[in-house]
Amino acid sequence: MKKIFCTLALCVTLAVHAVEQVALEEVNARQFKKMSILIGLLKADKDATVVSEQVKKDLEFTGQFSVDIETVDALSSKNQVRQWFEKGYPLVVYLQPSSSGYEWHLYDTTTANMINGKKVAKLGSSKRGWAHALADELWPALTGTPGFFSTKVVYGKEVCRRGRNCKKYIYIRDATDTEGGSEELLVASPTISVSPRWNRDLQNPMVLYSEYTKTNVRLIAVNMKGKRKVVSDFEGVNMQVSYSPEGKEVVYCLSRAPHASHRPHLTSQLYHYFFDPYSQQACFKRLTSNAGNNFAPCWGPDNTLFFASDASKNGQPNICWYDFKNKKTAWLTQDGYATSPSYNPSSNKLVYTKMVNKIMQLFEFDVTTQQHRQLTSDPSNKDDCSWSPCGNLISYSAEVKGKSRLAVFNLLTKEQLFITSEGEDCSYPSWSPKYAQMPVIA
Amino acid sequence: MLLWQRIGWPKRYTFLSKLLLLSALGHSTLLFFILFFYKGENFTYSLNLDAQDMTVLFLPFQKTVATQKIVTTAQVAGNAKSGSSRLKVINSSNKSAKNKNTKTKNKNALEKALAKTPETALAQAEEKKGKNKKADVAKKIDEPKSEEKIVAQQEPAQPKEETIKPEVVDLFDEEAVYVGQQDLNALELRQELLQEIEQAWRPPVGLATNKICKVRVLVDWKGKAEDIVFEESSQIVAFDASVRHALLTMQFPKSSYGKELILPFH
Repeated sequence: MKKIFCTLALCVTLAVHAVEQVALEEVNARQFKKMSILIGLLKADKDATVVSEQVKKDLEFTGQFSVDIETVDALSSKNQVRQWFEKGYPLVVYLQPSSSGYEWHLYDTTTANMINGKKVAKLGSSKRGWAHALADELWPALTGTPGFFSTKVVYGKEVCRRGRNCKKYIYIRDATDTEGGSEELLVASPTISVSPRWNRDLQNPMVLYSEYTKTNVRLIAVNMKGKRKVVSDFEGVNMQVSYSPEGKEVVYCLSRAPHASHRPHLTSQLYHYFFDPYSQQACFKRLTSNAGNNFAPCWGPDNTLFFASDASKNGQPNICWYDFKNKKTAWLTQDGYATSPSYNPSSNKLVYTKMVNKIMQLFEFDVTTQQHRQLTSDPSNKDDCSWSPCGNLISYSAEVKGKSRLAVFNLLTKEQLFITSEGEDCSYPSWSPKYAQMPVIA
Repeated sequence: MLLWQRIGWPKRYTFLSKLLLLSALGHSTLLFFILFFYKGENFTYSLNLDAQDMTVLFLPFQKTVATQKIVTTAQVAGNAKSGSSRLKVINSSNKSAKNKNTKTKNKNALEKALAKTPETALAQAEEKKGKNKKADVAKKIDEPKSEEKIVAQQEPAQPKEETIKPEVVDLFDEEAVYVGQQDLNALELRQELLQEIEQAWRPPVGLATNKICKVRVLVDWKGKAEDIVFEESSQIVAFDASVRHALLTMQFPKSSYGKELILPFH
């Protein structure tokens, strides 16, 4: 009897306390907002302050986070961590300098639990480099995507003395630097240097650029120590190198046939340079053979190549897609004026510039969906697009008031950010891949 | 014991019990008759359903309504345009009506004839039939012009007669979804919740484009999140943190108080 009574009582209790469940099918974000993050600086010294400031700039450069820095005496208790939540910070990063590097600990302020934490060693003497390395470690913990803060942008810059004798030098700077504090001179030869591009060997960063001489425009490679080497010195123009994803083959433009064995031409044609393992020799193959100028090659997906060519129906440059397997070329654009293709493997998208109402605008081609989309519509002419390794940012040169400025277009926020000042004339930006170590000029 | 009782049972008690039994039997027979057989002209039957504040709506399964078509001037004009074809139709209908009249007349004549004498009456009736036919033919030869005139005069009024036709209108739209009160409440709660959460939740742009974060939230009686359990994490700290922050800072709608919510964030 007692058992029955107890069972009945239990059933009644459960029935009374049963909570009604409501399940929603899908909650989608209608509005977006920068997430507030706090950097709690422990044992703050001068270096740590500089590093934390740079980390803040790096995270804010993406347009996804808003970062504040506070100096904290010691690693707080759980209740103190929870207090940050009341102040509007869902996440807190505690940064602690040590003799060999920096330790960071990421906390969820609602639970006061540590989510992640690592130690980053100080590599090199650059505090910016330490900060970028720290941001690169912190970024995947926050967003789940690899960081790109240690990357650089190489570009050509016109330098004049007393308004005369203008020359184009090659400079590099941090990709997230909008103030120019990290700008370094890479090539200062007494001539014009144009169209620099990074190599793909992640252990040995190198820049290949074209240099004007009295007889031709030759191709030169320069490493971070400033050591230069002529890599292509054929008659005519040698420029615009594009490396294969593995970094072992290149395609570039030549305005004259390199050897007598090749059919002569007077326009820019694309040549494929690679090492043949069977013949154990370096091979040189001509890819295009038309009456027009073929330029701006860029390696695409699945052993394909994008380039611009004016051998189109309307006689203006348009984007082509060349397949190495069947050696066939298809036109991606046909009805306008389109140049400067750049492909990003992480997003599987191509960006290029196309003339719209007499202004060159950025366009995107999604290789997966085969759809073209206009990205910008402001009144500046854009040229020389280059993707960031993350696939969310595009660097390019924008012509403003007769001078070319470097700008970065954020695909997430749809915002344009100038990274060079108004008075400077900078062009041909090329975003580096993420090298094993950040390229720093020795 | 029983024997003792029988011995001691008084006669008047037996009489009273018999009386009681008879009365009960009579009453039960009467009630049985009233309840199961006789319902009367003004019999009403009322039923109250009340299950946990749930109101029950009795909807007619199907309803037919006779409606009149509204005839517009444009339609009348359209009818006037198609005058020739309409005339033919009206003519034919008039003709058939006249034929019917003649047939009824003939029937009456036959009946009268049969009432008198079968043979003579039949002969007379046949004669009358022949006369009628001749008259009909004569009329047919004369009539068309006059009929056409009449119809032409009556034309503007004609559409009204034609359009007044009973039509069956289905009150229930086949595409519409009919829900009960409880379902409706649940739907309203979901919409309200979705609106509130989507207003409160503002994650950073470009995070977790193809990932889901499934959260189980218990709402207290003040409209605040009491307990948050991440059933499925997006594996992106910033995304999960934005969800948790939104749920902890927002005020849930009253209808969700004391309920457990399962929210998949995309």
